[in-house]
Amino acid sequence: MNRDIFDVDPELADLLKGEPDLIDLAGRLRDAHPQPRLDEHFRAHLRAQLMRAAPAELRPRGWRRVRRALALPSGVWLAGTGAGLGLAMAGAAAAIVLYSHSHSDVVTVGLTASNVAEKHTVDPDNVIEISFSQPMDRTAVVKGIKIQPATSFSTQWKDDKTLVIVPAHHLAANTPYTVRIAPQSARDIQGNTATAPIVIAFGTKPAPSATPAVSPAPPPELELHTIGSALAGGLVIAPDGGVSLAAGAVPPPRRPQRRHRRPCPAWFTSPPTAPPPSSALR
Amino acid sequence: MTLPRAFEDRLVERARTDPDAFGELYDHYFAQIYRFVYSRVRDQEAAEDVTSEVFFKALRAIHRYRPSGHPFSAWLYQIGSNAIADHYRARRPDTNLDSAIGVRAPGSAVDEQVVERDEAARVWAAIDALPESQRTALTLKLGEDLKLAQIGVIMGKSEGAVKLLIHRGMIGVRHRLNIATGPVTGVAM
Repeated sequence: MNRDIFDVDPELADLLKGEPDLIDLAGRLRDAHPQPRLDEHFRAHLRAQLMRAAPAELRPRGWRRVRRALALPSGVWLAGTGAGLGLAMAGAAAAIVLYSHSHSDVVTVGLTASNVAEKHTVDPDNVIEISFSQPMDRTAVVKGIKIQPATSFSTQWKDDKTLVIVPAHHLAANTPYTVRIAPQSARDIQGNTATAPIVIAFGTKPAPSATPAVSPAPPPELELHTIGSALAGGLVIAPDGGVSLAAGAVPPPRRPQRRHRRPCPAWFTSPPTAPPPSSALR
Repeated sequence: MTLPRAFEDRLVERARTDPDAFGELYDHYFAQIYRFVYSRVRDQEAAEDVTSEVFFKALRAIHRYRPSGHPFSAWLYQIGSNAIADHYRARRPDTNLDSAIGVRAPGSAVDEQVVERDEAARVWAAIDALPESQRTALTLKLGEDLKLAQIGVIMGKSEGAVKLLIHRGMIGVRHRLNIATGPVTGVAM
């Protein structure tokens, strides 16, 4: 135990030097440190709320002063800055685009635009597109993809920065899905890896009352001439765990059909322009 | 766990105006902050509330953030520390540590897990009894493995003061554990 402390925290060992009983106690305290269970639904829900509030909160400082000076209401502000914000969004490092197999509609459920309600309205026929901020190591990325609930899929690369995940079958209706890429698999062509897993959560909309005809045709958008010539091999990964799962990337406890187990505080669900009561940092 | 400094600085700069960049920061630091908050409030629901507050405060205040030479996480921990203090001011935490504390014990027998769980509850109950500043310093050091200098930034204290808090906290825990177990091994009362 003492040796552990010396190994993992030389500062602490130095601080408690000459007091072996305290060093031993430090080891016991470290071992007893609570390990909370991370609720992936909560993580995704909070992220969606933050992303919904972000456009109103993250404004250029000059515009803040102008708006304060003119006392413009939020709607006016948003209308005036919509174009600029759109450009900022276009440069986003990671965005997910889901578009329909029938290409009748193109839905962007970006990490900046989704919220819980939107996440649960994704068409089960959709494919999943992930844009990276830099050219990626295609093989490494594909090996690290995990979809929960387990889903067979193939992958196609539009270019070195854009991956398309095509489910082998239609996604289940009214089901929360999580696409996760383990950090060591999220590797760019220079060998740099992400320090946290890439996690994309969304939910499919409920099935219509009348069962629609299933079209076996591939999505027109995914044909070679549409996507480009850089498609990578169409690897199919079995749903039974054939996809590599990174150490530490434990599949989240799944809570089907639940968004969150309790009501959020009033400020949590209020419009972005209505901050929580204690809005100032102390 | 810490992002490369230059990368993080660029990301934070972007996050002042770019929601996606803020989202990246959230993705990277959520687990750290949640773990820290949970270790202080020891209740999942409360930890989620406080964690939400931390990130919303960060979102609203990120335009005021100035790099201090320490990781961005130090700023988040600072917000978290204040939010936890607010939480405690509003409501004393539940003391049902038996149900709140989990201990990693893969593969151990049920009896061993029960013993370890009791041990965890006992030692963390001793930490709960410490003054808040000592409790925070110990949690950041033993639970989050932060450097003394970073803890100093988070708590607004000098490194020397943090050392003193940790040392006094350790002595306090030892004192309380000795009282709890009966035999006193030469610790002055």
